[in-house]
Amino acid sequence: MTMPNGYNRNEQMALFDEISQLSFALDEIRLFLDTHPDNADALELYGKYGSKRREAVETYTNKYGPIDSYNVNTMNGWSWIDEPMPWKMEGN
Amino acid sequence: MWEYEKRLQFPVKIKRPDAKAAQVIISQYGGPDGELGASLRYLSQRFSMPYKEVSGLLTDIGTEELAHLEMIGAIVYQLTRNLTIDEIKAQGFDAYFVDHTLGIYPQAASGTPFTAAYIASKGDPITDLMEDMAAEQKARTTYDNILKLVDDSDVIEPIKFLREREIVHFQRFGEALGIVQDNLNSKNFYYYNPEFKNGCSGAK
Repeated sequence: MTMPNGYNRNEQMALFDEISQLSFALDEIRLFLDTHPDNADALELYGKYGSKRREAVETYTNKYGPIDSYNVNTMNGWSWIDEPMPWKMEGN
Repeated sequence: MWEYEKRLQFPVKIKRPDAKAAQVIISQYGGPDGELGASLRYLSQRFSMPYKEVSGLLTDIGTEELAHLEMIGAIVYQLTRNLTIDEIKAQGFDAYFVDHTLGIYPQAASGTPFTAAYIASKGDPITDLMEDMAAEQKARTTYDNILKLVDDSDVIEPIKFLREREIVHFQRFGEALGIVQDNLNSKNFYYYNPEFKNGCSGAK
């Protein structure tokens, strides 16, 4: 896979981390809302983090590759299976 | 329906392989109180659960446990990558190696393969939620024990994260139990099983 223009490893890692953090916030809020479905504060937080996450995922997907398999940009082939897989990002 | 996101819920970036640590951590992959049991237990219990808050919670926690299963697999994989035969022998990994090479297999630290005997799905909401609360505590204790056995901060960080999640899950299941009780006869929670309305227990 050829790298798109504007490829910047630091930006990629920062965006990926932002997606991880926003997703975790939503994971946590989701569980809380399951047992507190009428909690207005939680619902508002869910909306706020949800739209930030959507933005981050869209930016990342357009520049660096897919996070989920329903939005793969197939212009350069099937990038869904590009390496590294998430479990192979060991430290060095 | 499940969709996969190409990321781990929490990063696993281990610099130093260590087969000894892998052998104890693998219990959270396929052991009695591990993530495979947890996800299967919650995802199975949810089908007959009559209260949407609780079946929703079981679906969501069950899903999160699959993500934790993935993290444990990643940890064991990274701890055992590129081992030499000498390292395998020296670190006592030869028994696992002979049957699985460096593949990931759902078993306990003792070598016992995963079994559904580790989980209960009893079709009674009070019973199932008690099972779930106990399961989260057993998982938390297992992570406590793992933390006493490992010393690499690359390993400690994801394990601490997983341990904290068990405590949050325990809290949520406690709230779910409260919701179930709110829906039952406050004079006798055991008067009938809301998941099975065609019979009545003798209790009054």
